[in-house]
Amino acid sequence: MSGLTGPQTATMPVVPPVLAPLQLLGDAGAACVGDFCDVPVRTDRAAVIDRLDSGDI
Amino acid sequence: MSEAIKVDIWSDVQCPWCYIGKRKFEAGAALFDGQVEVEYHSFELAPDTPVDFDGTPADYLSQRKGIPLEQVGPMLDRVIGIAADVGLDYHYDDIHQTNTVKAHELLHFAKSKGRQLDMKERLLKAYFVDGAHVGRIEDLADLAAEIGLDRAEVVAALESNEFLSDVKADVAQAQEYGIQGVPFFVIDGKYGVSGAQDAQTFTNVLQQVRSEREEVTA
Repeated sequence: MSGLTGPQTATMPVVPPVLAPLQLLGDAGAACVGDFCDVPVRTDRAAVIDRLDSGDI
Repeated sequence: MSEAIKVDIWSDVQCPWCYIGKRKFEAGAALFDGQVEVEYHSFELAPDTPVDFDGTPADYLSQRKGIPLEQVGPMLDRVIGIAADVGLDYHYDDIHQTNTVKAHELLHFAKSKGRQLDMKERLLKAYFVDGAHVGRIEDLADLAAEIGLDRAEVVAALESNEFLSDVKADVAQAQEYGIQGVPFFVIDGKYGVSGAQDAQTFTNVLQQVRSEREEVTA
């Protein structure tokens, strides 16, 4: 894998003070949620908020 | 030469889609004719799992999720088949279900030595292919030594929880992003790709980021 390098700066802060919302690209890919690994997941803040509002989580 | 595009990847060592997604991402990055800097971040799928779970992954799924064992088999077979499609020979019968927090600490230790990518690959292969234990400090130290890290230094770092706060910071950052599942890829700090998607998806995102950079500098 030419062109792939590891992290260059180990001293950068791990958690930025404010994270910009992510724009999601692509489809919902196969992923693991909790200890269950057989579901396509599309993760975004809106979905989390919806689930919080609905009492799902 | 243009600045490398940063890709932050949230992943867990015992996540089958994370290893598959790693291969797909690598294939996508290989199709991109530019520099890519990768950093792995910790995501604990099941932080309450004991280090020495007594049973197979099928037992684990059955006990934890209440899925009948006869349904677990086909689920695992599907994952094994998709893994084989990307060149990974998963051996689920040999897997040691465990707690991965120490493996995540080791990945942060390896990052501090500039060896995180090698350590990540070794840990995933150890878990899914080799049937090695990735939850115990001594076993992890052996794996670290295999890639040239100082075994005694690894043991000391893991026993003292030196990198535990880094693991927890990664988990907190994932929550801030709203990440629910892994693998999850953050490209250039603004685009998210969820799950083990096709290689071309990753290539497209990398090309999009580069195009946007070129528009800004034009």
